[in-house]
Amino acid sequence: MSASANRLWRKLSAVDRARLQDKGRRAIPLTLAIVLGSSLVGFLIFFTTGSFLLAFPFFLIGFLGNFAPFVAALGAFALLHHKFFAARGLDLWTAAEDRDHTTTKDAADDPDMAAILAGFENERTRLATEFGRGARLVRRVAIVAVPCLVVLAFIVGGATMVVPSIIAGVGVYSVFHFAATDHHQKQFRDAFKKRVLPPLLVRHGLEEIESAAPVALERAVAFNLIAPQTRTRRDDAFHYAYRGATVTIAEFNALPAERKIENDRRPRRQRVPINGLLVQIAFPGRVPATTLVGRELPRPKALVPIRLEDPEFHEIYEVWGSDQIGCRTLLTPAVMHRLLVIADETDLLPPSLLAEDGTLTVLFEKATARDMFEPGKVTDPQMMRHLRQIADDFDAVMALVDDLLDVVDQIPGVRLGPVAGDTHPMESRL
Amino acid sequence: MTVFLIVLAMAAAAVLYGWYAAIVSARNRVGEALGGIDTQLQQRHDLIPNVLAIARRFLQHETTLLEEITALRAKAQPQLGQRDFQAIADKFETETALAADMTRLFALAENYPQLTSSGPMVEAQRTYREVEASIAAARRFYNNAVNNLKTRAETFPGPLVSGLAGVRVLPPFYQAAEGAEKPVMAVDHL
Repeated sequence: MSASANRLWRKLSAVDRARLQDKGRRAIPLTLAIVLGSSLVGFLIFFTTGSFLLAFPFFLIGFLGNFAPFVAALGAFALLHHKFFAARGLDLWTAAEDRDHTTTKDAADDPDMAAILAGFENERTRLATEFGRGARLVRRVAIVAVPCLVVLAFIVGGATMVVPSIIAGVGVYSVFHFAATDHHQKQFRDAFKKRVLPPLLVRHGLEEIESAAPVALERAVAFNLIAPQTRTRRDDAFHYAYRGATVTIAEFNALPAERKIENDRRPRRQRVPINGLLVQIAFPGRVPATTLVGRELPRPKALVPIRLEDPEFHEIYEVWGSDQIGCRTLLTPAVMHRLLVIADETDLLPPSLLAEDGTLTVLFEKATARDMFEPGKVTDPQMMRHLRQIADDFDAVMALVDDLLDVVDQIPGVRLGPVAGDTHPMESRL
Repeated sequence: MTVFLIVLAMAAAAVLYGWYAAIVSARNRVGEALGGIDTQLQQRHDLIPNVLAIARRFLQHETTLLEEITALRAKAQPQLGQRDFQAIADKFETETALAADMTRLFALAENYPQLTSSGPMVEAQRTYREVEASIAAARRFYNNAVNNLKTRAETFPGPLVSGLAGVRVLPPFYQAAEGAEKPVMAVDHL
């Protein structure tokens, strides 16, 4: 079921996914108001008119509203399952089966890469064995402990305590399972990335890598495109020179506690991506005007609203800029269309964008919680599958970068270098 | 009844004033957009003599076209900064003809490999493309502003207050050069 839901989700365009998300956000408070308010209205009608018949429809809605928590719990479970479990290990980029995995296929034929993977297999087997041992231990303890907990709860608290004790037992089991296995998975992930990532990046033509360099987020924060406490993942941040520009790719997220503070303080009409992908392009030349493209932004200082002609673009985005004509020079009809479709065939939403001086910062919000540039589960013996997962992420992100560089190349006064030929296997998808 | 009529009259006056203010705002936006267009067109006018100077060395047989471009530029130049809508319409027509001629010039240049491969011409062509992109952006802003003004002036009660707001004649749209709006067929260029 979740696989078909994933396929369905993948078939939607980025704009449709954004619309669906917006509809969901609007529907939740409305549904709550109807469900909670109808009983109240029913009582008011009953006491003022004395007619039960008039109040009956409202009582009925209120009665049906009793089932709402169950439906909401089911929906939340499905959503969390999709976001945190089903999406992991699945190739949510362009339909995987339709794609020619150029990089991976080449890598499979590459004796150096094959040697690296073969040399790494022993370490994976060791970590997988430890992972399995930890998981088995927790499972055996759980088989004994959870029924004991349930029986104890029944004796102490009666039948009403059975269901809560089962839920508590499952929760404790999950925590222990995570504690017993996660560090092996983390070790595998770190070692895999340390050994396999550098040659893989070279295959993508990314020769000048500075993963440790900090990513500049100050301007995006200043314009409220992202929360102030947003952090980029150090192990998933890459800088490189390409087509005459300096490109930075990084995954970003806000820490849970900080995210909560942000939620509390955030003005009502604002939408900030808390988990996503950042692409920053520093190019020779300057944009004619500071341009800010986002979804539900607070009014930025010193920028004026730009009302563009594309109704679909206007439905998804709000645009602010320092100059009406300069912004339109960047946001041509072709660029507007490109921004709307750029995240199609990925699990990302339409991006926010800040163009200022010689830098273009693009923020893609993720539609799932899936981590990018990560290998699969340590217990999966198919090393090539781990490699493909990371290579697919790079292929998709590099295609996005190519599309964005095409946009930059159209800016008057900007002179980028030629498109690399053989060194870069990906072509722009647009 | 009297109170009701007074309230009604005040409400109508408030609506009319609001509409008047909106029309004035839209008219000023059109003025701002016209200023933007003038700036971009001036850049084109400044660039044309340089392009012609480079082209003249190779395109001796195309003197008619070169002279036509010079004449159109001379005709368009004094119209910059014009705020009379009829004169603006004429200016747009001249500029459209000038743009079409410049496109023809660059197309003709394709027949002269020495010209198209010369550094200054390549640079001039690229700069011209950038100026054209800026003109297109300014045109979109202007047309958007004109559309907004027309909607406000022609929707009731706009016609009642548009004269008071100084909008007796509505500004023209700035159309792109003929053929520019048509899709480019790659096959035609292979």
